[in-house]
This record gives sequence, structure tokens and C-alpha cells, in this order.
Amino acid sequence: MSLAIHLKDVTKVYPGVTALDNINLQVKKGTIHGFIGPNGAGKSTTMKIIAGLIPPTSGFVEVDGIEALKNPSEVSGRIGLLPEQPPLYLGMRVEDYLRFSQEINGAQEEGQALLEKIIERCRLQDVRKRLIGNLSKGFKQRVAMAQALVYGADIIILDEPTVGLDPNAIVDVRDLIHELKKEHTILLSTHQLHEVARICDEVTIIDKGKILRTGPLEVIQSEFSAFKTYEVLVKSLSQTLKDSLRAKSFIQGLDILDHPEGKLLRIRVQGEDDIRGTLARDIANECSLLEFRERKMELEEVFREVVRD
Amino acid sequence: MTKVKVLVRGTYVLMKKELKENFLSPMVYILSALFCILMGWLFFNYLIASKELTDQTLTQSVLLPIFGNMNFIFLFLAPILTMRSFAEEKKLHTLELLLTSRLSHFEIIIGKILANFITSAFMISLTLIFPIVLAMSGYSHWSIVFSSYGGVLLSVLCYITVGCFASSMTENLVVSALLGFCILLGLMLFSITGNATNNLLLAQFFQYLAIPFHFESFVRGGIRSFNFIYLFSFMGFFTYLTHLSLESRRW
Ligand SMILES: Nc1ncnc2c1ncn2[C@@H]1O[C@H](COP(=O)(O)OP(=O)(O)O)[C@@H](O)[C@H]1O
Ligand SMILES: [Mg+2]
Repeated sequence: MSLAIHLKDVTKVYPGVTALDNINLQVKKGTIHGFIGPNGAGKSTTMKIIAGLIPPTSGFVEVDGIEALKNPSEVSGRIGLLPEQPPLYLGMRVEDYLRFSQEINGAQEEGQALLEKIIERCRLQDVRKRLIGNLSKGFKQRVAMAQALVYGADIIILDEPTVGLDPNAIVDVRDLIHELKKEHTILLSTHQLHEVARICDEVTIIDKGKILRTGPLEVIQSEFSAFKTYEVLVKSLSQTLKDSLRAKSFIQGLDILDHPEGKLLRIRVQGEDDIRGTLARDIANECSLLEFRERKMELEEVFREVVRD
Repeated sequence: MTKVKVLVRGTYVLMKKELKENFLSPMVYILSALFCILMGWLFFNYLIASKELTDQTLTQSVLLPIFGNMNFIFLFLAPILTMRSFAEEKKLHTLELLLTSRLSHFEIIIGKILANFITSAFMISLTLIFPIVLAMSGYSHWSIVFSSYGGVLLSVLCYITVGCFASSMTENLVVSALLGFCILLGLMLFSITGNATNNLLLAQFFQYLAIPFHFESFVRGGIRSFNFIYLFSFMGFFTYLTHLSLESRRW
């Protein structure tokens, strides 16, 4: 599969800060690529470099196989960027704003048709004549996304598109991204992992300017799923059970919390094997087992595990 | 050839947007009103003061001071007109939109300068009523009126270039306007410095650097080629500085 974006040994040094340290990133054509990292990891910096907004201190950037640093004008029309701060002219009407975006990016003949298509796709029909400044945050974000799409770029870069939106608006944006997948390559940054898990094909994890993991979502996820937490609710807890649990090799951690109905054990397990059966039987032998469930580990937590080592 | 066409097109697109923004905001109308009141009052006073209504005296005692004042007033108006051009785009992060587009820095800067120039030209055109009034009283010295308007327009164009540069240095509108004033006033001071030195060569040199000196050539009707050379290299210089200022955002 050919690459839409290829960063080779890219380093970016701001005065006093190394924002990116020799990173390599490959985004395959036609995929949604999740770019995950905590705040300050260097996501925005990477995206700005790809979009040609800032030059890297060293390294190479290829977009659709074209040297981006040497041919900025070739590349600019192929990339649609939604920056972290949506670049909206609050005094413009939605339609005029989108047309302006087309014009400054070299409008094509089929511009008007594309405009209509994007307005429909981003569900902006009802607000097309309204001033951007008067729209709700969710609408503003969709207008900003439409701006990146409206001149026919193949590669769409979205920098934290769902930050600060209410849950409904987040769902809207997510649906939109999903819909775009048919025609575009998408690089999507976020610091919330569950977002990536729903829509991405490939994932790259970055922290402190270094790439920690990169690969297909399933591979990364299976690495994540090596960390599991079970929550077990028991009526009472005997010392022998506590000791026997602590002695088990696959149990990484054991927290005992108070609960109105007894005690809540939070058992952290590592390994691929499914040990739920054995674990439940062992506990049920010792005391009355009220509840046994897998705690969906917040990906945030998993992420912290990965980042830790 | 197509390259030129693209360049013109990009500049035009941006200029159109800027003009729309300018004329949709109340700022232009407030400034125009102020400008009209001030100029009208001055014109009235100069007219009253000049007793004999011959071509000669009207030029000397009404037109010359009127154009001098107009030029001086724009020293203050231009930085206010231009303060938004880059500062606001930075504040609202829309500059990123322009910088990632096909537009080159050059197109962006020229587009903004031209839009502000047209806005100023609109304000200046409101004073066309003065020559019309004079014409009714039989004034016929039109060449001086033409060249004075030309002089005002060119020197306002210079002010706007400086104002755009000031705006590109900051995100704050007030700072942008003040910086613009300061640079322009500083340049004015060159001519005073010139007067203060005893050295003739130095005096001429400093005078040459001040915009008003060149502006006067237009009003007096003694335009030389070096006036144009100065004014255009002045604009070129500040356009280039603005380009550097935009470039430095990229680290
Ligand atoms: N213009 C800048 N000047 C100096 N340092 C910067 C600048 N932009 C970002 N940084 C620094 O670079 C690092 C990465 O920032 P950024 O790419 O914005 O992270 P993210 O988008 O992942 O939150 C941070 O430590 C940040 O402080
Ligand atoms: Mg960021």
C-alpha cells in the first residue's frame, strides 16, 4: 500500500525545547490514522510540519511521494488541515467562508458542486447563510472541518477535532470522520484513546517528542489487552483468600476497597490467557461471590502503562 | 504568463475579502465621519481666511494647507485602519488558514495593503467636494489639484505599508496601532533632525528619508523622479519587513 504521509527522522527544536526527537511516521493511503499522546507530546507540531506551516529543524517530509519541503505549493492543495484552534472568520457567513477557502486554495471548475456536497456532508444546510460567530461550538467545529474538505484535498489532518465539544457534537464529528474514510486519508490526533479505538485503522503513540508505538489498531490493542482488571465483589474476605490471591503469579496487583455490600477486590492481571474461570472458582470456594466482572480499563490507564516503560 | 495570472488572482481574492471586512465593520464609517468633519472645518476656515479669490491665492492659502493637513491626519488614521490586518488574523488563528493555502506571503501582504489603500482612497474621495466648491467660484488650476491628490495617495500608501508591518508584529490591536504611529512619527522626525544639523549634506540626507519632504514635491508641483524612487523603495522595504515578520512565525 502506498504512503500518503511519510516522515523520516524529523526533528523539531523550538528555542529551548525539543518538541520532536527524530520521529518516523508512515500514514498509509485510505486509512484513518490515530495519533495519540498526552498534551505537549508534539502532536500539533508534527501536524503543522506536515501541513507546511512550520519547517522541521531536520528530516524529510513526503506527501503522496512528493518532497513536501521542496515543493510546498504542490503539496498544499493535497492537504486539508483543521488546526487545534479552528481558524474561523467570525464575521463571515458559512457559505462565504467555505468559498473563500476554495478560492485561496485554487478553486477548480467543479468548485460549486463540491461546495454543495461538503455542506450536505457536514450537515451545514441549515446554517449556510448564518454568521459563523453566532453558531454553537459543535457547528463551528463542523464548519472548520468543512473548510479543510472543501477544496478537494485527499489527505485530511485533524488536530484534536473533538476537544471541548459536548457529547452530541462529538458523535456528530466522529460520524463525519467515519464517512470521510471512503474518499480520504485521515490523520487524527487526540489525547483520548477511546476515540481512536472506535474509528482508527492504525495508531501511533507519541510522548515527549518520541514515537512509542506504531502499527495497526489490533496489534496495539492486543498489547493493551495484556493489561486487564477484574472487579470482584465478595461478602467478606478471609485472610487465606487474600494470601492465596497474592501468591498467584499472574496477578500483578490487588486493591481491596470497601463496598456497601462487602468488599470489592480490584485485581490487575497480566498475560494473554483467559483466567476468569479459575479465578472465579478459587474465590467462590473461599467466600460468597456476589459479582465478577471485567473492568473495561480506560484506555487512558492502559496508555499510562505503555508510556511508563 | 499564467504565473502572473495566478498571482493577480490570489491578491485579488484576498483583497476582496479584506475590503468586505473593512466596509462591514463600523470602523471605516466612524473614521470617515471624523475625517470629513475635520477636513470640512479646516477647509471652511482656510476659505474664510483667504480674502481674495484668485487662482493664485486659493492654491497658496487653501489647497496647499488642506493637502498638508490631510496628509498629516492620515499619519494617525492609517495605523488605525491597518491595525487589524495581521494582528486580528493572528489572534483568531485564521492566519494559519492563509499560510497553509496556495497564497504566497507576497500575495497576502499586497492584498491587504491594496484593500486598505482602497479604503483610504474612499475616505480621501470624500474631499473631492472641495475642488468642486472651488470650481464654482471660478478656480481653474487643476494640475496642482491632480498632483496633490496623487501625492496624498502615494504617501498614504506608504503609511499603510508601515501600518501593515506594525500589525504583523503583534496580536494586539492597540499595540499594532501604536507601533504604526511610532514608526511613522519617527520617520517624520528625520526631517526635523535634518533642520537641526548644520551639515548641509546630512540635512539633505535626513530630509530625503522623510515622507513629507517627498509629499511636498507633489503639492508644489515639482515632482522629480527621485520622489517616486524614494516612495516605491520605501514601500518595498516595509513589504519585505512584513514578509520577514511573517516568516519568523515559522521559526
Ligand atoms: N511556538 C512554540 N515555541 C516554543 N515551544 C513550543 C511552541 N509550540 C509548541 N512548543 C512546545 O513543543 C512541545 C510540543 O507541543 P505540541 O506539538 O503543541 O504538543 P501537543 O499538540 O501534542 O499537545 C511542547 O512542549 C510545547 O511547549
Ligand atoms: Mg496540540
